[in-house]
Amino acid sequence: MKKETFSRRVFPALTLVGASGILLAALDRPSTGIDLGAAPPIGTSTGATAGDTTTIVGTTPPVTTPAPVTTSPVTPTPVTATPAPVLATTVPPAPAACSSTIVGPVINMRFGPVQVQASVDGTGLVCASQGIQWPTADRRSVSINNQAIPLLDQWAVHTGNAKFNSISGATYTSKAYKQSLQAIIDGVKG
Amino acid sequence: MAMTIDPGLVNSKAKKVHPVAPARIIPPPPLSAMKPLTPSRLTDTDIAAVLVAYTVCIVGMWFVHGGVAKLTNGWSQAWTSMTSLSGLLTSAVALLALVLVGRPLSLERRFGLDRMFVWHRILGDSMGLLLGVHVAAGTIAWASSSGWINAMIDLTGRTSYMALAFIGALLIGVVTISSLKSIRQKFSYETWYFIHMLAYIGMAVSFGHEIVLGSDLAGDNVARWFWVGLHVVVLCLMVFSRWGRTIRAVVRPLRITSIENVGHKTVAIEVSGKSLQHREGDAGQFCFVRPLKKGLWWQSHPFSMSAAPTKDRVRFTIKDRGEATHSITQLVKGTKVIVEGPFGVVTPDVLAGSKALFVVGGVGVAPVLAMVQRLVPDHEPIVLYRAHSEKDLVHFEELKMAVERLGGKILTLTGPTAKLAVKDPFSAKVLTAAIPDVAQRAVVLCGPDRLLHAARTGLKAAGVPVARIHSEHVWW
Repeated sequence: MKKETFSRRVFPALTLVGASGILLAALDRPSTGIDLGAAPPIGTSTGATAGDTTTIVGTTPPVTTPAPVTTSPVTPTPVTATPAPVLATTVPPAPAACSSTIVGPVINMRFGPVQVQASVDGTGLVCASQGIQWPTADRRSVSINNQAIPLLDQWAVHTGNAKFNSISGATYTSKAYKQSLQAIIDGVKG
Repeated sequence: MAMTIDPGLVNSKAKKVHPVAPARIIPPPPLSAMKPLTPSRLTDTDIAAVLVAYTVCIVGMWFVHGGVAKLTNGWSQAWTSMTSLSGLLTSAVALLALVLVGRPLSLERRFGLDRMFVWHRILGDSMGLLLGVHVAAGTIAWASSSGWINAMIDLTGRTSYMALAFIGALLIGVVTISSLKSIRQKFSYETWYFIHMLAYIGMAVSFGHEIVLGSDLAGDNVARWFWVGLHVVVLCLMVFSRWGRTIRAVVRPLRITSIENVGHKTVAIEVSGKSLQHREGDAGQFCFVRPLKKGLWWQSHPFSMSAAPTKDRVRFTIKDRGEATHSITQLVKGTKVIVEGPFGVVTPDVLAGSKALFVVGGVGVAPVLAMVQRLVPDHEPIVLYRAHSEKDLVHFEELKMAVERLGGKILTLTGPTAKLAVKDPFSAKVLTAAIPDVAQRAVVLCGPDRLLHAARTGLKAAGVPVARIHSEHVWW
């Protein structure tokens, strides 16, 4: 067999390994809540647009919340005390003109509905955000969302928008949460 | 007449020791010979790089998505993370195993189909283990948040795509178990083969839950497209390389042009057809033969070519050793046959100019007969022919003529092992006595498993380097 040249041996190999590195770099890096302490994004809060009272409510489609599976012996535990992880750093001070709390649309993802209420300033920067509905049809959903929703709440305020990374292990909840939040932001920005 | 090894040879001193000859070149085959094999263009580094990149991508996906962090984040998350990793690895290993049986020529020409099938089996076993881990970890993870009974219900159907994945896991489990050596022997080859095909269905129906529920794939578009792409690439390989080759062979079948008895329960079948002009092949290789006849068309068996293949004909020598081979020996002239191949890496090229020794058991003479036709006198071929009885020495006259034309010789050894004068006819002592320059020779072994093993042991003891002992592994 013909002896292969050095470059014939090395270049394809390097290309392949390099390509795999690029793939890894392109992957989504989900937040685990650990690195929340990073510096908050600088939001240009103009604070103007008085009379910003448009409240988005009507966009909620007539949603029939999927009935909990009746054969399940598990009763959905009401989520009262959500164990919210404590933030390491201070939340950025709320900009001056925040809207009153706006209720976002219900987003139905594959495990159930997710809904967010938030207050947003005139430029669309999120002042406060809170998940108000999430799937509780089975205990697994409850346990996942009990962890995920508080993190998402923090991320929304932390980044000030709906473009933060998904919570690993709660991908669907994260996506629906962001979708609901984005609808609120879009509504305010007009 | 050929010489016969008798125990007296052990003490014979009259053997001439040949000087080591300079490297020789195997002559170009005659014009009518089949197109020569194109060597594989893959280098070791290519293959290593593919494997490294593949592993990096798949384990990296899990790692980047926080797999390691989750392992230390409480039992529930740890089990979930284990589920993801074992699931990714199960599929990754399954895809590699599929690539191997897709028989890409670039790998076949390099490693030989026999070795690829052995690796396929190893990968298959690993896949079965990983799947076990995946199912167990997944169940535990799910049960840790919703209880065992709920977990069982959720994982077998209440969660969408899980019903399919459950069926997929069952099918793959059946395939893995049916391929365990001790269980596999209880089935006929065909039954086993059709059970094995369920693996395709198992993989197909499991795909949905990977994409929709897999925590590394569902939420990350890049990962998901990579995953889909990977499956598409392997599917294309299967379609074009594996099934495409079969379809081409079906569309242009060959015909049996002659079939004759060449010894005890053994026939030589010659097939020819126009499609042979486009194939690449060499002496020593084998083909998969599928006779197009009622009751036989769904069976495909590998047979060695017993003559150097030419552009218009290929000959196989087949011994009636069981149901399948019996029905093939009963075929008649004119029958259409589908021939896939040739495959295999033990060709005259492995001799690389050394003097040659062939150790043959029974009908294993077929590929040797073909290879001897390609040798030159410098190879001084010696054929050590072990057979049950005199009548099992098939193609003997033909082999003798070919070998003697090259100045070589045939040593035969017949009779049941228990009745031989020496306990182990392939011991180093006997081999060295019969063939004084055995350590300088390149050896090709062809025959049943036991013979291969005995001969390999004896040859190594006689000083033949392992790199110069060549044989096809037996995989079925």
